[in-house]
Amino acid sequence: MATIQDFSNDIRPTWCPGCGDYGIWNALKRAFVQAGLSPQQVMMVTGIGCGSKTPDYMHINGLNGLHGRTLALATGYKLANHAMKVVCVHGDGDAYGIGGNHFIHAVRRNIGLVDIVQDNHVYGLTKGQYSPTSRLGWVTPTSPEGAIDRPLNPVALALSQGATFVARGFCLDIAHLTNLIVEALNHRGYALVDVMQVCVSFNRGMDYDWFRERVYKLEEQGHDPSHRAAALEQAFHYPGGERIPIGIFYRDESVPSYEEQVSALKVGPLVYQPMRTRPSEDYQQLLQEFI
Amino acid sequence: MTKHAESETAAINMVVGAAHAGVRAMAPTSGGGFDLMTEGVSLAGMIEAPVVIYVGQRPGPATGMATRTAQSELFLVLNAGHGEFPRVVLAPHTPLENFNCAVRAFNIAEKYQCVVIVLSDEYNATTIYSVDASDFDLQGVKIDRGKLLSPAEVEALAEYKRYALTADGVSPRAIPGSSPKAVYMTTSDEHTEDGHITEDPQVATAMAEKRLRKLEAARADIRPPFTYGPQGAEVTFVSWGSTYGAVREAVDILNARGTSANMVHFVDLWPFPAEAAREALAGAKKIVDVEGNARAQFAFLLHAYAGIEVDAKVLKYDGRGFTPDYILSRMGES
Repeated sequence: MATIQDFSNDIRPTWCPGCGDYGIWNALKRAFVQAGLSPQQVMMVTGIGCGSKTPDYMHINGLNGLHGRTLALATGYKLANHAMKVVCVHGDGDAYGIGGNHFIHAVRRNIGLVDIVQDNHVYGLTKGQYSPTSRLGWVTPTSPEGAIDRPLNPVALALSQGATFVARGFCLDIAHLTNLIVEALNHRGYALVDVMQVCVSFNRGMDYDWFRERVYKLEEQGHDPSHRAAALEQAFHYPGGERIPIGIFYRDESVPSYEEQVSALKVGPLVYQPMRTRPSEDYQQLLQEFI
Repeated sequence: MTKHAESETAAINMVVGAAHAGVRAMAPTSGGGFDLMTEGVSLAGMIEAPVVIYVGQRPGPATGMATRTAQSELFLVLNAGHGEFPRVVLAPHTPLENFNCAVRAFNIAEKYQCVVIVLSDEYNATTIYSVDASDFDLQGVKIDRGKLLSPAEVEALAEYKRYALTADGVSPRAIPGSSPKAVYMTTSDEHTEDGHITEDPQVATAMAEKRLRKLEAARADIRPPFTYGPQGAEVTFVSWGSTYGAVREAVDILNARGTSANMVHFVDLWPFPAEAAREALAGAKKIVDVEGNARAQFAFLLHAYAGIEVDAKVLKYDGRGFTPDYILSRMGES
């Protein structure tokens, strides 16, 4: 059984002191241990942003790709080796801005990815421009008159497109977030965990106290996560309202994942299948289709 | 297996992800789709993922004539993707060569852990040919996975470094997660030998040079152009890709008429076989470049890398394939 130490390395994060990424980093390591995973069994796919450097600060398989292409890269990886637990870690700009199209399609595909979105409502790495989840009216260098674009609602979007696991966490509540990630790791299809994250340097209006005053736990409100309509109702509380629900909005384990339905993958991960598996007549037959 | 992605951007990233996982992966596309893939090409270059991309050329810019043919993406595929990294470009000219190039493309991609582009076009892709099925030697296909380590080979190492600096630039590749020692970081950022992010100037220099050494190493797999027609001909055509048939017929017509002609045809375009080009064209009396674009893109390469200037150019960019008549009339020989 792996320990937290097994997932640790000696590289120091470049994150600012007090960054919400530290909490998510801790929760991820704890969740892997709680889920009984070893570093060998996990592939962490990330994009570009402060938090996308997370696998660099861990002993784990990391695939740190391009800005916004995290889910596409992870989808290809998962289809090639579905024995691995593939965990995406990226920010709100990566996931919902440049990567928004991949997000919608990962949801409707129900591909077996855990998608941890470090949602700090700001482009922090580039020093503070408004992001797809930023609040209306927020003045930043790229929204000098205040943001006019209304904030995207990732939870409602995922639910509306048939997501089979949708949750929201808070970077300060590490125990709660750890549990959400463990649940997501045990889900058979695509699992979104949108994490309310603090950016202490470039989104100071939404500090730890701001979030603490607003978050409430769905499980303490008697929310039924098997009920999509109830989940959607909760989803519309934020953004838009002053209260932020966290916990599991919705979960359905009856829907098969994408990779479960691909016949070529039924005998095992593609990467471990031999290259010439069929009798030579089959290849001849294939050739006949062209000649 | 196949996966129809939501976009070409998704497709190339899926292919890179799958290649990194250790399977053979390719993305087929055409000019506009390849435009969208270029950032992913750069990613594959940086993380040294073996990726094959089939580019079927059609006339651009933009939508151009989407059901017609062209040879206008040579500069594009040679330069696609930001930064400097190796790639190999093959331009097959017959159905049999399409088959052979597919096999070679995957082997070269894995041997040098680089992007291989099969540069085709609409004419090559959709023309119906008469071929002999027995020429397609399925049993003779050799799969070369290059420096791909088995779990036992990884276990035998004291320490595994994905981007170990080597003489030929190719680092042994372990399938992530295939053994407890095959746990490693890969990043689109510049990285150390063990795959971690760095901005160290010395490491950056060493890594850039390591990646580019693979291009020189890949020359071992680059085939010279071939010549058709008599030696010492009055006219020597230079061609690449799907124009082969029309040029060859023009050569035959000229020889039948008493004007001795031959052709030097290129399939392997990059790394540019400069020495082989000089050898094949040594003593050529009149070199006529034939290609399906307006800027004579191949002739530019021939000049830039082999120092050979062509004497005449027969270009075509109307979306239609070449005919021998067109070539001859452009030369004033019809």
